[in-house]
Amino acid sequence: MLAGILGRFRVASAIHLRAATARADKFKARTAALKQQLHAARDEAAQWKQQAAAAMREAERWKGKHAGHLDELATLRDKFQRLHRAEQIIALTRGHLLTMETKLDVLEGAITVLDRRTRDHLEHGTTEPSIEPLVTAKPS
Amino acid sequence: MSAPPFLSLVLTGRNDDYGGNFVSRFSRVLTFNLELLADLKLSAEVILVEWCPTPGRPLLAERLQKSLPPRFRGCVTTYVVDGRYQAALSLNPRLEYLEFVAKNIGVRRATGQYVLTTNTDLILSAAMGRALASGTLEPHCVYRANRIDLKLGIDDSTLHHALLDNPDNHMPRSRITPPLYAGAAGDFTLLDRNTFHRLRGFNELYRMVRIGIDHNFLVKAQSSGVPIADIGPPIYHVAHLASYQTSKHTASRQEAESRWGRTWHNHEVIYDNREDWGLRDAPARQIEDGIQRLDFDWRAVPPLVDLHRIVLSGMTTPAG
Repeated sequence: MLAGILGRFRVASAIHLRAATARADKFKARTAALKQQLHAARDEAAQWKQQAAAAMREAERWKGKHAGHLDELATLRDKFQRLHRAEQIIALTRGHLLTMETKLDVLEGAITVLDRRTRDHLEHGTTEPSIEPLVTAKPS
Repeated sequence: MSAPPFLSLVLTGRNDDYGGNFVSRFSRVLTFNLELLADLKLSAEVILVEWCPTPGRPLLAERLQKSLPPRFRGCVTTYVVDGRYQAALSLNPRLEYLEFVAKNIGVRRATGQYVLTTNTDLILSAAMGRALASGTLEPHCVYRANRIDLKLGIDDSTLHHALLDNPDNHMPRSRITPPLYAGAAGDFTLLDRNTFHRLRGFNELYRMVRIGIDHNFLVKAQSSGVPIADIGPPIYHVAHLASYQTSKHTASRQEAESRWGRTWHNHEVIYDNREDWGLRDAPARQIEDGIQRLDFDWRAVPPLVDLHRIVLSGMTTPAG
């Protein structure tokens, strides 16, 4: 009945006031804790953001580096192919050189023989191949 | 017309007492080889090319006929080549014996199913005889054999297999190895006649050397798609002071050049002989039973220079 009379004059009882105050304190404490948690979460988020940014930067760096490696690899492959082609050309050129040398040997031999024949012809008037005494000779 | 023999042995030599007691050594070795083949019932002919005989001396062919057992005399056909061919063909006045042109003359005229180009001091082992008789030889394949040199000074007056096969009598020598099985190829190059003819024999264009022409043939065969194989059993060689193995380190440069010629690019550069290789057009006339003379005729002599036939290995057409 007292509560009804106090209510009519818009006045709360002390019990209610204490309970309301206790609730308000509890909410305040909770709000503070939540604020603290919020700050901590913000800090953590900022930290993660920083880490993410660093990772992104690192990723970008690696990406660049990888691209560099790929370019390097392509260059190396190209160099290897050119080297291989050069080796083939060198081998072929060497072969042709040896062939030319062999042909030159034959030409030199022929010139020597013809020179001898000419001299024989001029000295002895012969055109037949001469038979010279042959010393050692036989396959071994 | 009798069937062609299974094997033609192509040899070259002349009566110049090469290495001392040449005729008796040759006769002893040839008799031994022919006996081995006869024991195995292998038909064989011997094509001896007597290259440019020394004037004033009896022919090797005549001396050989006298020293061979009568039963083997009919196996031997000798082609005595006019001495002017050496001078007409040679591109190296110092070189005294165009051994492989001589062998080509024999290969060209051989009638056997298989042709073995070898030398007068090479002895077939018993195992070699069995390999030849085994029926496992394949055409279109060059067969090579390891050569075992018998020690200088062994008593080879009577040849027998126990003497030859005794390792104590052997001199160390590295074995032939793939792919070419090269090494003293002039002592044993065996292949079927048809393939030998398709390859047109040994190099006749580089007529400046004797050394390396045999190896060059192997390069040519390989380049032409003809496989090369080690037949397995060895052959034996009676060492003597004039042989290449014995005297290559002691001969002076000039001596070496006159006997064998200079080293050349025989591992890389090959040849494409003319179709008249082996002095195809040299006129032959019989002078005795089993002895034919190849007379000199300029028309049989190939040109001194035929450069387009000198080619790089790997650039020839495969032989059949």
